[in-house]
Amino acid sequence: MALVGNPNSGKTTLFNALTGMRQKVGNYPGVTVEWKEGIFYSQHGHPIRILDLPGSYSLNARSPDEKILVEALLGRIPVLPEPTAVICCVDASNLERNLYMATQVIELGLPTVVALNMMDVAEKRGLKIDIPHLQKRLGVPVIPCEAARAKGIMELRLALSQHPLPLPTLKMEKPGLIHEAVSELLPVLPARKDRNSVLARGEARLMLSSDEDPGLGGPVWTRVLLWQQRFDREMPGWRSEWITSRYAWIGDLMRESVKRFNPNKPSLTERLDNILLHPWVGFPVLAMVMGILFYCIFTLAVPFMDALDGLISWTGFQVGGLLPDGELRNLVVDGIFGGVGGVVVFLPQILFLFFFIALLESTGYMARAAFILDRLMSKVGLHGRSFIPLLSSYACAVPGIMATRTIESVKDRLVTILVAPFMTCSARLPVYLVMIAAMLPDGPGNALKKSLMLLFLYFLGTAVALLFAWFFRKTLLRGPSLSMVMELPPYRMPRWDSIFHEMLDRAWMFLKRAGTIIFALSILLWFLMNYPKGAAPESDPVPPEAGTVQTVQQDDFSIEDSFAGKLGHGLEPLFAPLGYDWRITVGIISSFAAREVFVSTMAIVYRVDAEEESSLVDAFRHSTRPDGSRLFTPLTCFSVLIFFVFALQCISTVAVVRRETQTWRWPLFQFAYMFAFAWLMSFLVFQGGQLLGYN
Amino acid sequence: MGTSLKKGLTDRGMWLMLQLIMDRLIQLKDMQPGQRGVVTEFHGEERQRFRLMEMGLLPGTEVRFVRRAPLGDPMEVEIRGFHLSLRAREAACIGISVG
Repeated sequence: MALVGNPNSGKTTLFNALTGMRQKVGNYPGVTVEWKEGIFYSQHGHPIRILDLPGSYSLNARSPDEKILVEALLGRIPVLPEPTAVICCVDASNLERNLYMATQVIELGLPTVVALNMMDVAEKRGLKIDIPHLQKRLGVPVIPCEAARAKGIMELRLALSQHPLPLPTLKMEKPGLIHEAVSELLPVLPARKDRNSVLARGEARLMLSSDEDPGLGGPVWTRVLLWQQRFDREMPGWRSEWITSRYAWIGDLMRESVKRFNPNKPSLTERLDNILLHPWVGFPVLAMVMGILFYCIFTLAVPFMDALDGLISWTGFQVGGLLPDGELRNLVVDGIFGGVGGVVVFLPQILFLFFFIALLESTGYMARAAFILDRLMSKVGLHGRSFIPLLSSYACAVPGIMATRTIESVKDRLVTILVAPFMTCSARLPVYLVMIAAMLPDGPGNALKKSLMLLFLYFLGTAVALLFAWFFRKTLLRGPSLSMVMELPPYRMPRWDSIFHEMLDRAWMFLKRAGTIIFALSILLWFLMNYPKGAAPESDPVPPEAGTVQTVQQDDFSIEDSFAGKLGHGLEPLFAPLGYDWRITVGIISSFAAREVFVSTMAIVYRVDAEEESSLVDAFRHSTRPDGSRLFTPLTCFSVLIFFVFALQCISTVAVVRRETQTWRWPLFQFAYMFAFAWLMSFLVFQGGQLLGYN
Repeated sequence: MGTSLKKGLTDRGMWLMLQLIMDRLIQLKDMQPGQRGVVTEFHGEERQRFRLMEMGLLPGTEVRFVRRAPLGDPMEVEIRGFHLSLRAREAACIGISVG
């Protein structure tokens, strides 16, 4: 069975009320649209599979979500079973517009049951609905319910348990030419079993009014187009005519079956919006909401992350204690548990962020935030909804990119994903602090300079993100975004169970899809950094001047001999124009695990205690190139900083982009363009700086 | 306001002009908060037009302009008992007759 309905009609709440916890989330192959599948039991105890399809205002598909809806309804998606019946969720408080798609669905010809949801809201608004009359005119069972309070669910279950469900009888007047077209199309439509003629005719009618090919494919779609051209000639304006006549039919039905009391009373939503969208008050309130959100993921999540990290390494240590000393133990303690730690450390931020997003969505404030911010975001060609993902990326691009799924337009979403990692995430902060300390010596005047430098780096990342957003919107992902045509739904009380559902779903999806890639890649990186072990001769890269620096208790292992070290030497020519030697290159390679790993890697390279920032900074200051000149001149430090602002050095981000875009193409492109830009900028800084005599 | 103004306006031509202004055709984007009107015409790109029409914004539909966003764009309108937000660029394609 398929569940369809308008956005904001309470479809998901109805789905949760019917299925309880018996549901799973999946992805349609090739696209980022998700489906939810659940099971509920009929009156006789038979399990019935139910598919929650994307919300839409019409069956005339224009976006990928809507295409999936139509294709799934017509049984054209191979991985999904052909629906045997449809539950059409209709918002009783917004009946007129909801009936537009409902009548389209009923006309399609599948056995349909209309769930008239939100009866309480309709009553509060002074609407009295004559349900028997509605049922008679629509020709399908109409069940009043309040999914949020689990009212009417029993009745809906009973209605769905009838076997066989009656076929709908609704018929709207259509011009003769349509019948001709339908009869001509019938034989060429892809044949499917159990397809009765009513349904086939419904399908043909739907195809004839489609603007875009809903998965028919070449020859059949060409035939449809030919018919549409003939309609254009013989019935000019037929599309508007069809829409208008459907609304006229619904208008008649509304007059017959709905009575309104106190129609002009301003609703609670209206009064709330007078405050929340007020020209002066709107912004401060939004800033406060965003501030709380940002505080939660940036600060409040940190103790949880530390605790999780500590728990994982403690467990690793305990498990390691059971194993004999040796390679296996290293693999388990450092490799496997390190990899697991690298994955779960994201969970607190993801849970917090999606708790907020689900809360803002379910109360209706999310649409208002987009409404307020749209003007700003549209300057660079983005949608108001791109704001929260970008804001979240200041904490971490991984939850930020996951949050882009609230953006409906595919292009807007891709652009947001492509630029999100430019936002200075919290993993860059340790690198910035160390490099700024190495760049600007301690001194009374330099404290201010250091903070200004930090601020400048944050600003630089943000500015470049917006610049690239604008650039991509003009070139690669061009096209108008029509997406601001958006409903501002009435405010509702948050549905806590739905919010927690959503939160856990997101966390689980992250672990399953992105977590596995991150885990595998971090083990690979660990291996590169630590092998081959062999008999490492003492080839101390630290020059004698750094002898004052405290030596760390490392095993007799020099990172220079590891694969990563060799890679660092191998890639040195690539990074030399930026002013880096092999040691910095190794640091950059290691920072793919997470940017802050740069600091600990450099500590290993220089054999200092990573916990003490000052000793690492000292080591940096004393470090020289083979020719004896200083390696970490202010210019080199600045070049490293610039590289870190722009480069996508984060396998977790790459993995999550892969998961969200369902292809390797976008993450690889993103990695390449960000790397190229970072290289170019650092190159300009270093070479330009040298030309100007800063060294 | 009609009657009080009418007394002051002796010139018949002026009165006709005022009537023209009062019952006039404007773009949806130029409406004032609280103002009501009826959709008379649609311009602009077809896909966008059909999308709006399917959401219930048709010629003949009564529209109440609710507000502009704090930065002046987009804008909020009420049709058929629900609230819709549109950018000014989109709202410029919709002609409204305000009574």
